[in-house]
Amino acid sequence: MIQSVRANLILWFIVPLILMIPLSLYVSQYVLTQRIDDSFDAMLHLGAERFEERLFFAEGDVRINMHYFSVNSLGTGGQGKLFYRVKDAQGRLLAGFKGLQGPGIAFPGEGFYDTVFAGTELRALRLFIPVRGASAGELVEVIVAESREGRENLLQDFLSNLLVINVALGLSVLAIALFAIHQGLTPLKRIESALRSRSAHDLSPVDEQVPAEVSMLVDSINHLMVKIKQNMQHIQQFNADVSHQLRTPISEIRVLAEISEKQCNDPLLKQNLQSIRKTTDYAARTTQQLLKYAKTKSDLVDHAALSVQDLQPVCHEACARLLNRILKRGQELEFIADEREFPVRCDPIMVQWLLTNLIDNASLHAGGPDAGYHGTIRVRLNEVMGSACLSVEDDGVGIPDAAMQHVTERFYRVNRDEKGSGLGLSIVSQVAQTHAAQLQLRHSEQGGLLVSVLFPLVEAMTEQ
Amino acid sequence: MPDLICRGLPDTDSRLFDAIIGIFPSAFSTGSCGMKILILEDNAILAQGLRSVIEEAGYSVDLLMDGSQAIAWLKSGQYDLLMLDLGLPGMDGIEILRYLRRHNNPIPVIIITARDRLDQRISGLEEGADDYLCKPFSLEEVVARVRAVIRRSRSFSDNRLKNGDLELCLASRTLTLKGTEVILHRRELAVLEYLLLNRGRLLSKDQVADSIASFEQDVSASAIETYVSRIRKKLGEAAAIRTVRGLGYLMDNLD
Repeated sequence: MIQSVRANLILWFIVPLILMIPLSLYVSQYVLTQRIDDSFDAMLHLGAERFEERLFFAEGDVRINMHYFSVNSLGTGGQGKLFYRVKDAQGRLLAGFKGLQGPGIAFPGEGFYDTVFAGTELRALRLFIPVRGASAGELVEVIVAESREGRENLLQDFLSNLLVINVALGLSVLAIALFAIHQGLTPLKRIESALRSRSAHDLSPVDEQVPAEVSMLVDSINHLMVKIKQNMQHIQQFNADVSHQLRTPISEIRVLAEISEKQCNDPLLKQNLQSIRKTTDYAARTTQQLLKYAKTKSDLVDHAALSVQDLQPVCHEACARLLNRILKRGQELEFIADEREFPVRCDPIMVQWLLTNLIDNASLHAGGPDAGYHGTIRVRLNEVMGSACLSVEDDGVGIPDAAMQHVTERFYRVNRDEKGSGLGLSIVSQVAQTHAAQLQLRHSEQGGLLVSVLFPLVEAMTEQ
Repeated sequence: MPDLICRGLPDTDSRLFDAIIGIFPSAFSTGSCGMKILILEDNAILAQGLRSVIEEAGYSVDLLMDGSQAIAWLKSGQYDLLMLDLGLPGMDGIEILRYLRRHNNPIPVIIITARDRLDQRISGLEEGADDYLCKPFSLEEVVARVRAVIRRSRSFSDNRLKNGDLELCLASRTLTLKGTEVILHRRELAVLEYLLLNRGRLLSKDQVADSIASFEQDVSASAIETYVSRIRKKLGEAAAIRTVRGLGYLMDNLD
């Protein structure tokens, strides 16, 4: 099955055209043969009648005056061979070719018939002509026969001309059809290019001036867009609900574990309760991270909602929010930013998720699998080659080169036993992707991990 | 069981409530310091958890599980703090907060929410809340937050700010270190007061500068650096002021 509408339409034009040219030629040939035969027959008839002038009666015999009788005078146009045979009423041959056959017993009267003489197909006419000067009833049988070359040549001429005309006509129809198809498909192409040129996340309705037939298609596309948008909102809402619904029971478990732990004197039980508390913390964090992961998935982000923001206060706020947690773990946090604005088209909340995940990642994993990290985490914001470069650096153990390219994969852990959600850097990677930012991981000078995110800077803060 | 209030509890919840009290009787026997806190939380387990730690910390607690009576309770009771769950039956938490602020009720409010503040985008803080707790929270943190909010709201009536060996008397504007008076410049004292008031919290230089600036005179962020370094020089380790590079200052809470 051919998928292209254009190819289908062209096929629908070409196949009938190819069938109709031979058909039209065949019909033409049939009609022309008849017409040519009629006119040639009429000429042959005229030629045969002329014998009347040349037959006369003398000395009781039929005579024929054929001195100047030529082929041409019979009016065949000189293209074919001409044969004749003249016999008197008694069947004696007066002139012509003896071997030229009559129409046969089945056909006793006057008239045209086909015969063969000397290996040539002939069109023949038999007439009974009265002889001048003879007593009434003396008829001479005259047969005039003509080869078919003249007729056939004429027919060939006609047909070859017709073929040329037909082919020319066919080609022009095809050209017109191609043009018409092209013109007819233009609105579809316009819609296609309009859809192609928009970003994958643009779900606004298609707004193209199109003919009535295509407007139905556009309506359907727009309807689909609305449905997709609704679906996306539904997924987002569902994610938020899941997180919300899970948080309350997790809080309950946590509160119960914490209170029980306080009241408990059995050391073993206390230890178990502590584990419950830690596990609920882990569950809560994983739920939250899963939600963030789902929310930052590039396909689900409404890119129209991104606005131009200064990264400086956004990053400052994220650092400030994490500071207490970092200090509690015996780590230092530094925020080193150039004193200027960093206008970037972004969702500030997602950028904060990106930064908090990077800081948390450093805080939790920089010490390696067995030891906690007790160093400084440096957050830097500066301009690097026209981009706003947000980087987070630690002086920890770093990660092996082999793991570098895998750490942004979902649920990848450098050390399998570690109790991270395995989503932190995946979220970072997704947020970067959503913002058309470049994510780079490398070893810091002290051997720790240095993660940089390069956001494209925009002109100014005018667009708010 | 002093001032135990659990109106609006369904039967099963009140059984649970009794069970929890049975498990943690000590939580309800702690003496009160005179501060009254109203907890508006419809989840029985969380409500009782909050109640037990807050009472243990020395505050008296009223508990209400239905939003519709909240306003009446807040009008009648002399509460020093409201802990408010946003997802309440009866009347929405945000509605209650808006009502309070519209009627110029200055009661400090800590919001409890199951939604991430970042998700929700309507920040409770903008509606006039003093702090927020995101579920799941640690009870230890709850007590710290309650203390901090009450400290900030009550510093003037209390007239004294204490952190470790440091004590600032607000009425006489005198600072003592282990009982010995230390003389600070007026501006330095203002910076220290602001840090003491917000101890355990990160404060940017601009925030500190804004807090001590007056109509007559602006204070620059670099001036704050000078004041802080002078305070450190005079008080030494006891100042407990951390400089966080690029972010500001943080006074460690030593209590």
